Amino acid sequence: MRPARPMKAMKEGEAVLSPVYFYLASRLAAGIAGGYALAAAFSVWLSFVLPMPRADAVLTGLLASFAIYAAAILWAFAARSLWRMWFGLLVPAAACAAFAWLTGPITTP
Amino acid sequence: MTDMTMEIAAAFLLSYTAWAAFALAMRKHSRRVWSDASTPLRRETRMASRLVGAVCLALSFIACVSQWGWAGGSVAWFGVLTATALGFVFLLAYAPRLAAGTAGATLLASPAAFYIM
Amino acid sequence: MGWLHTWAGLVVGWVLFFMFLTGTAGYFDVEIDRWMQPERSLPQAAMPAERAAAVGLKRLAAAAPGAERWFIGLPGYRSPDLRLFWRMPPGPDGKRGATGRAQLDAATGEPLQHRDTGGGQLLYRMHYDFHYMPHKVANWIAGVCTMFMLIAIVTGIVIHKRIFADFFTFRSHKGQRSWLDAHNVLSVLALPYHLMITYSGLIFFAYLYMAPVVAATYGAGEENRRVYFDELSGRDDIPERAGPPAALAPLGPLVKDAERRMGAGGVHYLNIYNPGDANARVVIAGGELVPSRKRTKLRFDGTTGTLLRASNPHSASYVTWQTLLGLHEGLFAGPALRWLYFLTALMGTAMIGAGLVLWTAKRRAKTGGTVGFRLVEKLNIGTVAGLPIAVAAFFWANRLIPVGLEGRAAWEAHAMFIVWASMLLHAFFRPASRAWGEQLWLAAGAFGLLPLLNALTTDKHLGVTLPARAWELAGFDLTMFGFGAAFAWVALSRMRKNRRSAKQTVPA
Repeated sequence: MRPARPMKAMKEGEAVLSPVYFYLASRLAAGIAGGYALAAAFSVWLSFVLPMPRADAVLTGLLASFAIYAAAILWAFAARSLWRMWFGLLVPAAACAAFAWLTGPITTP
Repeated sequence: MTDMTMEIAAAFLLSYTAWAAFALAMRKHSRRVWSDASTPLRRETRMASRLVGAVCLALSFIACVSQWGWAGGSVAWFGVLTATALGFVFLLAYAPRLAAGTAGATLLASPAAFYIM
Repeated sequence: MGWLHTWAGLVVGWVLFFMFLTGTAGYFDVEIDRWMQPERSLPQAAMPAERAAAVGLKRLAAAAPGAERWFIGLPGYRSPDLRLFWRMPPGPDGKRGATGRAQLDAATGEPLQHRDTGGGQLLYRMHYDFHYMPHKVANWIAGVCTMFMLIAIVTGIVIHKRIFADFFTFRSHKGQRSWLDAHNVLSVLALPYHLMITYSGLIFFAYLYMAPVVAATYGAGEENRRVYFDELSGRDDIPERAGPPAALAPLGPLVKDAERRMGAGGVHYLNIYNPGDANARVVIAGGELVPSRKRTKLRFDGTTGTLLRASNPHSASYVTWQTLLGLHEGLFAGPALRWLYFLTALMGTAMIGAGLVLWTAKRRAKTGGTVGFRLVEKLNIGTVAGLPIAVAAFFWANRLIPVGLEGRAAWEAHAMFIVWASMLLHAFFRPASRAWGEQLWLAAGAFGLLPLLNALTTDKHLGVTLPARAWELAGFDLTMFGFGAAFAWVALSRMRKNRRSAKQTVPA
């Protein structure tokens, strides 16, 4: 994985208001909040579509959620531009949420 | 000594031997043991050493499984690998010759332990 | 990724160090309990399961008639005690019923007599409840820190390009290089453990951290969550109270039947639902201890004693879930495997410590004077050296606080945190190099002298426990002595190194 350029450019002791810190804050916020949204939306979608009793489907969603979350945080720091990063987080999250909302829980109770 | 402790002993001995075999196939470690640094290990020697390492790792897994069963044995195998690797790295850092000497001893002792278990 | 690794590890490093250290102690929680209860007689053979069940039943019938559930935990290989627990039926307001517990000496059947102490259980629980906080707050903090840990591990793998080439590499006496080597070796050699313990740690409270996932199917709130867990574990199979009273069938034959299927000593516990009611159920659980926490469960009709059903099969996701939790707790581990768990967990603790120290070693030359650097350095001293001293103080307090003192169990824990705070203060008011040396020597003394303190204050010291082969007690003293020796070795090699470098810098 290539380190993101803004990180590379950052040097110790740089002014707090420099654009580098804006990049950083943006990626942190995206990773923590956007990543959580993606992980939760994906897991909800998974728990709705898995063909198993609903308790097992929810459990499977929970088990997978932190792997998704971790991957999303890494993506937030690895994506080459802020655009790509937000795109890569929010589009899948919105897609999962939309599918979940449309289908609803279809598993057998 | 009961059969049970023999299996645990075999797992530890084999795993230690394996790490030593892998490490001593690497020039940067072997030249700390044999200070005659001018002659690098021959390719065949290195491959043979790695083969011994791989076989010993597999045998130590068998020893773990026969002691703890499939599930517990797999967990224990990782534990044994970690513990012996830590011990070997520690010895290699502070007493490289002792690390290699111990490996010679475990190499001789582990087939016996594996056979008895 | 390097940036992310450094800061994810640093920001919560000290909390992670606390979680790893107290969690490591947790692998020997029962043994620590024993050591902290020196009034108890040396372990002796426990009574057979059948009699233990009868003794437990008699106590429960007297203490909690009309309960919703009685629990009898039978003596196991780590603890010879008989553990009782009960829960009363829900009140008219719908709130869950009151609970009670008791611990009996399995040799006599009498309640255990020992000093008031939190024991190893308290120490172990600290690694996710942080002792002074509401559970929910603590679990959230633990979860956030664990997530940071997961990120630190994954980024660490990504940035460590020479995992195999440097697998065995540890170069001593090389300053920053050595700290990096130590951090790498401790991480890589125990990597499967680090990944397992971190991910499974998140799974314990996944229902809390990922509450929306449960709520999407079951609805929000505590009530709905309980429905989810009941469905998952199949606990909803227990019938409601019927109403008319009925005598409980004798437990002896049921325990005997279970022992025949699970092997002698294989029965772990009994749950008696709706005792004294026509709808009573007795569930006997046991069998070989396995990582997946799977147990053979026999369900009997509580009034007739007929076997209704043996274990119900579980789904793959359920087994995965239980295996993650089982691997984390290591309750299935026998003595040898338990020591491996302990060692590997210690390596995790040391890895975090080495990483924290590495942060300062890397930056000392460039930014050594800044406020941020000094803050990190002092927190490092007060935690990496100071927290172990505080844990030792927890044990010292157990021996030194008068037995009759009101609230002494709470004061044992207070002592631990007061000492930790003192160590942090000490680190802030002393020059860094001196603070390291002083605290390392203090740690050496605090651990190394514990066996001596034990010998001076109790009759369960090494002179008694070694000849009696009471390994859980002797093992504690010996391990503490080992920690003392290890701290002394570190402190000594620091002193030697400082003397060497002082010689080099003095102009001729």
